Amino acid sequence: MLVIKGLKAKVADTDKEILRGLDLTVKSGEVHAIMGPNGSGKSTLSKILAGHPDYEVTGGSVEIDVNFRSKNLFDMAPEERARNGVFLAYQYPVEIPGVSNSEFLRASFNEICKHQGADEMDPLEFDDFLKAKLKFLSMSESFISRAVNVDFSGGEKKRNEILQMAILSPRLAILDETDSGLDVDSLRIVSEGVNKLRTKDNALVLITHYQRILNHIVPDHVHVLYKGRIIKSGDKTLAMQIEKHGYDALIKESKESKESRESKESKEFMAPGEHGN
Amino acid sequence: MAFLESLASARAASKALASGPGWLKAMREKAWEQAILSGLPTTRHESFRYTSLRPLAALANAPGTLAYLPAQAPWELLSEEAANKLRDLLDPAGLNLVFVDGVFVHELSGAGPDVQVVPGARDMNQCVHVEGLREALQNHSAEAVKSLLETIAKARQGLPVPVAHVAKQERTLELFEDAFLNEGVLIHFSDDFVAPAPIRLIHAHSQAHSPASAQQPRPTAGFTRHLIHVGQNTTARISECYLDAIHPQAITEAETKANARNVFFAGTTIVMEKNSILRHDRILSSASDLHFGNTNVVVAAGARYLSLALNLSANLGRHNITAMIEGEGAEVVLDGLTTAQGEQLLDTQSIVDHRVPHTTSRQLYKSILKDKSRSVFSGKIFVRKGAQKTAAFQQTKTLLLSNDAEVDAKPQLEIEADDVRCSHGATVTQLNHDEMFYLRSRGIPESTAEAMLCQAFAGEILRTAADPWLEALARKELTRFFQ
Repeated sequence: MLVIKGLKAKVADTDKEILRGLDLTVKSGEVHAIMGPNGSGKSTLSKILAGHPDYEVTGGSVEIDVNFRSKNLFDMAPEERARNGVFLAYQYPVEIPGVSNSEFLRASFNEICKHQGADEMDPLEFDDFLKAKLKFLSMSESFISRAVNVDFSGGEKKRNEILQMAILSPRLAILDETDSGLDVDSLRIVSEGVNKLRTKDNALVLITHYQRILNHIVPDHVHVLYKGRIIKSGDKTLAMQIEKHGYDALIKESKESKESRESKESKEFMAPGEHGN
Repeated sequence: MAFLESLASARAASKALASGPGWLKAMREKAWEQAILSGLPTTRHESFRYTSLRPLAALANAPGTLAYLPAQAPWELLSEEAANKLRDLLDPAGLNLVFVDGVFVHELSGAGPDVQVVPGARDMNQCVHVEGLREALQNHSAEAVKSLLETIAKARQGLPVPVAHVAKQERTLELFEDAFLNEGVLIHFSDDFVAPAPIRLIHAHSQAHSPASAQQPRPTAGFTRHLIHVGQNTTARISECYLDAIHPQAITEAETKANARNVFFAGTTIVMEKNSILRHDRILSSASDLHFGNTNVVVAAGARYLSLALNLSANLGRHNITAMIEGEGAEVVLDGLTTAQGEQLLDTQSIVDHRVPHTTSRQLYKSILKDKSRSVFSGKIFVRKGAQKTAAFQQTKTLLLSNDAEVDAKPQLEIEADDVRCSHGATVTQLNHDEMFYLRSRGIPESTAEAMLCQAFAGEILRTAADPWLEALARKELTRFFQ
C-alpha cells in the first residue's frame, strides 16, 4: 500500500536536512509503529506524507496504491492525497476560529464522497451520521457546533482527529503522537475507536514516543527512526525493549553496524538506499 | 467638462430643486454655492490622499450629458422583469421602502402583515411616521425636516477644530446632501416604543435593471437623503441597502475596471433621543457605481447607536460615518466589513466624538481584498476636555488575498481628558497557511478552503447584523465574491 524508498527531505528554504534516506513498506491490514527520540524526523515524515509545504523532498520516492495501481504520492496535492485515502492525525491539530466543526466535517466528507462518485449528504442526513460517529467515540454532541479545535482541551483535539478519521475512513492513516497529552481513559477510548476502524484493507502508521499506546493498538512492526533513517525494525517486542533500555543502546549498536557496513560498502560499491531498513 | 460644471447644468435643468419652502431653497442654494466655490478635493488633501476622484471626472467626460436623477419617473423605466426581481428580493417581514434612482416608489414598497400600507404617509402601529421626503417637504412635515436638519447642522458645527477646519475642498461632496435635498425619506419613531420589525430603505437603479441599459446610457448623478428621528426610550432597526443590479454571477475584473456610469450620493441623518436604541445596518453592493455615503448621528444620554456598514462592492465607494455623542451613558458601536476586488477602491472615514463624560465607543472594521483592489480606513476618535471616564476602542483587521492589494489604515486619536481608556490597533494578514493546509489535508480544495477561512473572518462582523434579511443578502454577495 505504501512504499517509501530512500526518502530525503529538508525544511523548505533552508539546508536543514531531516530525512536522510528512509525506507518503509506498509501493506494492507498492517499496523506499523515508528518510534524514535526527539528530533529524529518522525513528525516530518508524517507531514511530508500529507504534503505540508514547509518541507521539501530532495530525494527518494513514495508510492501509494490507488485503485490497485501504484501512484507517485508527490504528484498529488494535499487534498488529492486525502481523497485517495491518506489521512494524517495531527500531533498539534490546528485551531480554525469561525469555522464550525460540523461545517468543516461535512465539507471534508462531501469532498471524499464526490471523489468516490457517491452522493453528497445534506446537512440533516450528515448530522445523523455524525451523531453516530460521536457516540462511537464517546464524544459529546456539543463538539460539532464549536469552532474547529478552538478552546478544545488537548484530549478533545486528539479525539476530534480520530472523529475525522472515523468519518473519512482512510485507507492509510498516520497517527502522529495521538497518545501524547491523553489521560489513561481518553487513551483507551481513542485506541478502542482506532481498533474498531481497522480492517484488512486499511493500514495504520503510529508515530509515538511511548510503548503505552502499543498496549492498546498492537503493532505488527516496530521501527526505530534516528537522524532521518530507520536504524532498526522488529516486532512489538522491540517497543518493550526500548521502554526498558531507552534509545541509547540501539543508537550505539546501529553506529557500530553502520561503521562496519560503511567500510564494507566502500569495498562493494553498494547503491545508496538499499541499506538501513 | 469638469464634474462640477456638468452637475451645475444638470441641476439648473431640474424643476424639483427649484420648488419647496423658502428656507429649503435658500439652504440648497447656499450649500451649492459653497461647493462651487470650494471645488473638488485632490489627492493633495489629507482625507483624499488615497482616494482619487478621477472617476468623477471620467463620468463627466463620458458621452451624453450628465443626467440629474430622476430624469423621468424611474418606476416607468423599470421593466416588468426587473420589477419582479426586486419584489422577489424583498422580505415581507418588515417595512420595505424601495427607491429607484433615488426616488421613493410606492408601487414597489411592500409591508409586513402588521403594517398598514398607504401610499405617502404610513404608520406602523401608529408609532412610526414614515413619509417620502418629497411629500414631506410640501406639507406640515416640512417643519420636522427643518428641525432635524438644524439639529444635525448645529452638532456638526461643534466638531473639533481639526475636522471643522480641514481644507474646504474636503467637505464639498458632503455639501451635496443639502444642495440636492429632495428625495429620500423622513422617519420618526415616537417615544416609548419598540419597533417590531426593521424598516428597510432599498435602493436600486433603473439602468442596471432595464434592458435599455444595453444601449449607451447617459451618465447619471443621483442623490438621496434619509432623515431619521428616534424618540426617547424607543428601540428601532433601520436597514439601508444600495444595490445596482441583482447580479446572478460573480463580478468580472473587467467590470471593475470599466468607467462607472452612475454616481450616487447618499446622506443619512440620524437624531437619537435619550435612552433610545438604534440598530443600523447598511450595505453597499453596487459594482458599477461611484458611491459617496455620508452618515451623521447625534446620540443623546443613555442612547445606544449600533452600526454595521458592509461595503461589499463599488467601482469607487466612500462612506463617512460621524457619531457625535452628546449625552452621558451613551454608547456607539461601529462595525464594518469591506470586500473589494479587481481595481475597486472602498474607503471608510469614521469620526467618533466623545463630548461628555461616561460614554463608550467601540469600532471593529475588517477588510478582505483581492486582485489589485484597495481599501482605505481613517478613524478619528476625539475625547473632549472634561469627557472623563470615556472608553473608546478602535480596531482594523485586513486580510490580503493578493500581493497587489493594498490597505491604508490611519487611526487618529485626539484625547484632551486624562481619565480615559482608549486604544487602537491595525493588523494586516494573509491567510494562515497552517489553517489552509489543515483543511486541504482533509480533502477540501484550495479555493473552498480559502472561501471557508474568509467567510470565518467575515463572520465575526456579519453576525452583528440586526436584520437577518440583510445578513442573508450579504452572505449571498460574499459567496459570489469568493467564487
